[in-house]
Parts: sequence; C-alpha cells; structure tokens
Amino acid sequence: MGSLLDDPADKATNPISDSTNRVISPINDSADKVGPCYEPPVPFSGSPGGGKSGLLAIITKELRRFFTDRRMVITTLLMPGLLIYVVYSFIGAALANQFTVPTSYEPKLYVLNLPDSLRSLVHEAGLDLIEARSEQVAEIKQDIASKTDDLLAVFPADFDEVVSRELNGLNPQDPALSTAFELPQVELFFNSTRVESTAAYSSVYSLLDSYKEAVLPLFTVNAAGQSYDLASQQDKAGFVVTSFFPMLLMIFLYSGCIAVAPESIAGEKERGTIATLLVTPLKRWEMALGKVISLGMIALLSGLSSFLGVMLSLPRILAVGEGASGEGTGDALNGSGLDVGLYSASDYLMLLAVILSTVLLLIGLISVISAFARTVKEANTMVMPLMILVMLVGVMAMFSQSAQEQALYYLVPGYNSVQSMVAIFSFTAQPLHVTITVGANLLITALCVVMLTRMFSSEKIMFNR
Amino acid sequence: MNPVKVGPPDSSQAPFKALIAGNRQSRACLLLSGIVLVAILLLRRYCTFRRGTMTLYVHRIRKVSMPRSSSHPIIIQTQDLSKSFKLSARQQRLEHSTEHVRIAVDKLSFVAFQGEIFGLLGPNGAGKTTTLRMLATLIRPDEGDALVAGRSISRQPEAVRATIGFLTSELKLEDFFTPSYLFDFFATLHGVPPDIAAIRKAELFKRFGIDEFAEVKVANLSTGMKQKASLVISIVHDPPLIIFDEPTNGLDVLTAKVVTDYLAELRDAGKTIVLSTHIFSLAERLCDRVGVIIDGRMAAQGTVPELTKGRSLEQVFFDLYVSVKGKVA
Ligand SMILES: Nc1ncnc2c1ncn2[C@@H]1O[C@H](COP(=O)(O)OP(=O)(O)OP(=O)(O)O)[C@@H](O)[C@H]1O
Ligand SMILES: [Mg+2]
Repeated sequence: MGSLLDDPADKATNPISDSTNRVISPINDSADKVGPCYEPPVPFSGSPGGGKSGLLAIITKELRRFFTDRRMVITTLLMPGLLIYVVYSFIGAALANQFTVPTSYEPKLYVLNLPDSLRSLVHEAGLDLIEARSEQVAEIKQDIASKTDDLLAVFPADFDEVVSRELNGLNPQDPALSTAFELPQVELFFNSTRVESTAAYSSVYSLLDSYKEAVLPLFTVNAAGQSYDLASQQDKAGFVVTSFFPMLLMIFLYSGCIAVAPESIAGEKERGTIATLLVTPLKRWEMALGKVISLGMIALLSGLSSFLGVMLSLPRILAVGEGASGEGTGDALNGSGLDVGLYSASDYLMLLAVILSTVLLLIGLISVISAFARTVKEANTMVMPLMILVMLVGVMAMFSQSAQEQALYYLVPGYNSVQSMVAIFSFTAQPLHVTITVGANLLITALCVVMLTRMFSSEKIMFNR
Repeated sequence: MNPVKVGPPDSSQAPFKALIAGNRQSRACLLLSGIVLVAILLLRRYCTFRRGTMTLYVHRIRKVSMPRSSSHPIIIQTQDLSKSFKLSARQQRLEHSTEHVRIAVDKLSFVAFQGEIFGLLGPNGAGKTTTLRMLATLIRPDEGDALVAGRSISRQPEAVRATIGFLTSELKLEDFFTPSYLFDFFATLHGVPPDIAAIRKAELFKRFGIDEFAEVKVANLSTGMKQKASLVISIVHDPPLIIFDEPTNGLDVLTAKVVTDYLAELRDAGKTIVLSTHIFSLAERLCDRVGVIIDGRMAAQGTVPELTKGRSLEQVFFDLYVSVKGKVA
C-alpha cells in the first residue's frame, strides 16, 4: 500500500535514498507528508512494556510506594482502625461506666434480721449480705446517703413466722386474701444517685420478687425456663447491623479511597512525575488500569482496617444498652446480638463482592475527578460532592428498614451497594440483585478507566495550568 | 471521487438483510458501500480534518530540499510544525498581555541527520521547549507533523516514545524513590531485560557519579544530582535518538562537562542528539548543525561553519534577530 502512495519521483530525487545507510520508507501513511526517514534499530522496542508488562510494573510501583512509606502505612492503614477502636471503646466504656457496675466491684450490702428461708436463695444469687445489728441501722443509712455503703435490707424479726402463719390454711388461689391479712414489710434502703447502689437494689429486689412468687404463686411470668423472645437470633443481629453498618462501611471505604487516589493522581500531576511516565512507551490504558487496581487494593485494606476497628469495638458500644437495664455487665458481651457466625459463607462472599466492586467504583470516580484537578488540594475540594452523595445513600439505608425489592434500583451505582449490604445483613439478599450491583459498579469502573485513559492522553488535562 | 450510491439510502441493516435475501440490487448496494469504505480509507491517507474547524485539508506532497553537505540520512523531519496555547486569564495577567492565544511554534520545518548533534538555538520563549515536547509526543501539534525515526509524532506516538530518550526540566522523578529503583522501574517500562539493565545501570551510574547517592531518596538529592539521575534514567533504554532540553541547565561546570563529553561520545557511537540551548558557546563547541528559532520560526539552519562563516555564532544570532525583529530588544 505504501508504495502506491509514494511519489516515485520524490524517491529518485532524494539524495539519501541511494546512500549506503539503511533507508526505510515510512511504514505508514505519513509518507505523503514528509519524505523518507532513517529508521534506526531500536534496541528494546520489541514490545513496549517489555517482558514484564507495563500494567504489572505500575501496580508494583504503586504498591511499593505505599507499603515502603511507613508514614503512609501508619496514617492510612493502622491509624483508622486503631483510632476507631480506641475511640469507640473509650466511648463505650465511658457510657458503660455511667450505667453499669464493674464485675469486680463488691457491693457493701447490709441486712437486718435475714430470714432463714431466704439464706439459701441469697447464697445462690451470689449476694454477699453482711448481717447488721439493729443499733447500726442509723449509721448504715448515713453511710448509704454519703455513698460509702450500698444497700440496707430490713426484714421484720418474725418474717418467717408471719409468712408461714399467713400462708398456712389459706387458699393461695384466692387473691383477695393477700390483702386481707397484714403482710410482713421488707424495707430496702439505697441511694439512687449511686450506680452501684441502684444495681444492688435491683438485684435484691428481683431476688425478693422471685421469692414472693415462689411462696405465693398466684401466677408466673416467664418462669418456665425457656426463651420467650420470639425474635430469631438472625433478626436481632440483622436489625442492629442493617441500621448503621452499610453507612459505616460506605464511609470507611470512601475515606480509604480518598486517602490514596487524589494523592496518587493529582499529586503526580502536581509534582510533574506523571509527565515522566507519559514519555515512556507505557500504554495509557496500562497506566489507568494499573492505578485503579493498585489504589483499589490499598483503599480496600484501609477500609478493612476501619471495619476491623468497628467490629472489635462494637461489642463494647452495644454492651451499654444492655448494662443500662440494670442487669450488671456479666453477659453483656454475648447479648450484643452480633453473632457473626449467623451469616453464611455465601453471605460473606456476596458482601465481599459488593465491597470490592464498591471500592473499585469509588476509586474510579475519584481518580477521574483527581485527574481533572491540578493539585491534590483542588482534587480534595472537587470530590466533596461525591462524599455528600456517599453519605446520603448511607443515611438513606439507616432509615430504610429493608432493602429495595426491585431489581432496577440495583443499577444505580453507590445506592445499589448500600441496598445490597442492607439486604445481605438482613438475610434477604438476592443473588440477582447482588450480581446486578457488582456488574453495574464494575461497568462504571470500566468507563472510568476508559475515561482516565483518554485523560492521560489529553495534553489539555495533563498539562493544564 | 465519491461513487454514486444507488439503492435504498437507509443503510445500516440493509446490507445484512440483503445478504440473506440475495437479491441483485442489494448485492450491488453491498459492493458499492465497500467501495465507499475503501475510498474513505484512501482519502484519510491524504486528508485530515483539522480539529475544531471542519475544513478538509489536503496535504501537499512537498519535496524537501536536502542540504547537500550531509552524507547522513534524515532521522527527524518536521514540516510546518505549529503550536499555540490558549492563555488563561491568570496567565494573561501574569504576563501583562491582552492576547488570548500565544503562538509558541509557528510553521517550523527542519531536519536532523542521523549521527549528528543538532542544536535548537533561541532566546527565552522562542519555542524551543515547545518544539521538543511535540517531538517527544507530550503535546500534539496543532498543525503539521514530524517524522521521528520514520514514525509520525501525531499518528504513532507510542512508537516514537520507544525510540527516543527525552529530558526536560518538566519531567520530574518521584521524590519517594531512589535513583536505583527508578532506573529499574523505567527499564521495565521500556522493556529492557533485567540483566542488560543492570549492566547499563552500573556503567551509567559510575560515569555520572550516581553510585554515591543511588540509594538516597530523590527528595534528598540536590538539584544537580536530580538532574543527573533524570538524565541517566531518560536514556535507560539506550535510545538511538536523544532529545535533551537544556541538558546543562543547573549543572556546575564539572558536571556540565561530563554531560557534554558524554553527548559527544554518544554521537560518535552513532546516536543522534537533538538539544536546545541558549548558550552559544555550548552550541558552537558541541553541535554539528544548529537551527536558530526566533518567535517560533526557524530563522536559519545549517552546519555551524555554514552559518558562522568565520564570525561568532553569537554575532550571527544578533544579526538574525535584528533582521527578524528590527532591533535587539
Ligand atoms: N502551557 C503553556 N501555556 C501557555 N503558554 C505557553 C505554554 N507553554 C509555553 N508557552 C508559551 O510559549 C512560548 C514558548 O515557550 P517555550 O517554553 O517553548 O520557550 P523556550 O524557547 O523553551 O524558552 P526558554 O529558553 O526560556 O526555555 C512562550 O511564550 C511561553 O509563554
Ligand atoms: Mg525552554
């Protein structure tokens, strides 16, 4: 084809065409524009990018850049998780201190005239009651008021006799009887401004309550020793987790992305290091894809770190709610309703797919925006609207009780991620929806890579000032 | 030129249907559309649509007059290379200028021969860097084209990039890495096998004294050290064509001498070097041929003796400047 277009006369008059040097007429159609040109052998142009592909080289470089920079690793990988863990745990502990008594605490409980019938019950409940003498009562009350003692229980001296006399020969099924007779009066003195005192009060009160029910079984409530909360474990876990996990996850993933992408793309532009890459035979798509993949990996790790921080500190936060009800702290950790074992392997797989595609989507979007910016600072300003959007879809999930049912919603990038997470956490995930979500997100990511490729080829964008 | 199209004008699906239906009229239609396609492809070789304006621009096939003095083949040939920049409001304010467009390079044509050092000489803002950036495919010419080692800068930029080593102050090395790592990294990007890269690294690092700071992060290097590292990394792939923008800028005389000696050595080894400078003594001493650029235009080009004819290059430049601009500003 080339010879067809070359002007033969042009060649003949060209003084260099008959020189001994190797002259190759241009292989392409530029022949019509300028004359023939010497093509020197190029030592390493066999395959631009070489043995190791350019894509891999870019990915390794980006990862190396990140992982050998101690400051980067600490600020984007270690700190978020650690900070969240410490802060959340601290908040949790602080809140818990408000309402609960440390398990190690030995309350000072005094009792006057402890009836024999109650001794075994008291012992079973693990309460350590100190027997007081009647002349001490005033002093103990004083101490309770001044918060040095916790509780004083005063029983009538003839508690057992009265109880057995009143009950003997009476028909326990007749409720009117209970008010017809003079019943023994038990007095519990405590200090409601002291948490330990209140806790002691409620445990002694419930002890006496169960004693009362035992001796006078008019009716019982939830005494059959079975589980009465009919909500399934899954529902409980799902309810807690769906309400705010998707939002937390989105925000953490976003913050992971924002920590690395503007720095790597707008930063390279700002520092002029991207131009050095642009003059190598590295293909623009390799550059774009390499950046998105490596930044995605780092962002994922960063998001994971935050996520771990939350997971580890969550029991402490959730324990507060349980502790506040006055039951002490003993089994609060188990009561958080967060048994991760409830989710099946496929739930986890779907979650992983959604998270991965979301990270790639966010990195893609942030990368494209960063490529427009001239400086890292400008990039950070330009991604603000994206952050607001991410927050918005997260908050929406917090207030929606269940995931969207219609498949169409799962085509909307970002929103679909949150809805899929809600569905997965509440055990209602449909593989179709998750597939649509992942597909839609990956499609947008691919578009971002294409766009980034074009931007890397555009001098207007790469060298705008 | 365009064959007359017969048959149904609605096009896209028609040929496929036609193929199935097999009637004669649509077969003719298929044939014709094929001819049109070929015609368009052929047209594309001769014509390009200038970007922005949609005017058909047919390239004239010009014969380039060859300087008879050279016995070497052409390796770079630019034709009517033009580049203008839109000035942003901020730039206009900074430069106290009211023009919206700055013509940096204006229909620049020159040739460089294989095995020579070609110098682009010119005052500040003449368009030297812009020209070299176009040759290195960092930016695209608005008009015109150049063949660099037989590859068109506008149509085969990737092939051009594999052929050249380009150095300009605009290209920075990443602060975080060491010269040693960056050398390996760029060797990989250029497809240099690791064993060859290692040999070249040892050789070049020793030559430019980089071994002393090979493992120091670029951020902690002095300007000259960075410049040396950039230079070495720009030729990691042993390119046959080296394009250096002000190669001795920011270097002390000792290092500058190492660089110019090395360039002369590369030339003697058969490489071609295109460099830009505004240091006339350097051009006189180092270059085989020079092109003098004033206001983005080629004011004169030729071998150094041809141009100077006994005078100093500086004097020649002043004369040229006066003849172009009227006076020495
Ligand atoms: N990106 C840009 N935007 C706007 N104007 C530009 C840009 N790059 C170059 N110019 C203008 O083009 C003209 C030529 O610039 P260039 O850098 O090519 O000059 P030069 O010959 O290299 O000068 P020097 O010797 O000072 O390096 C200058 O007037 C410059 O202001
Ligand atoms: Mg310059």
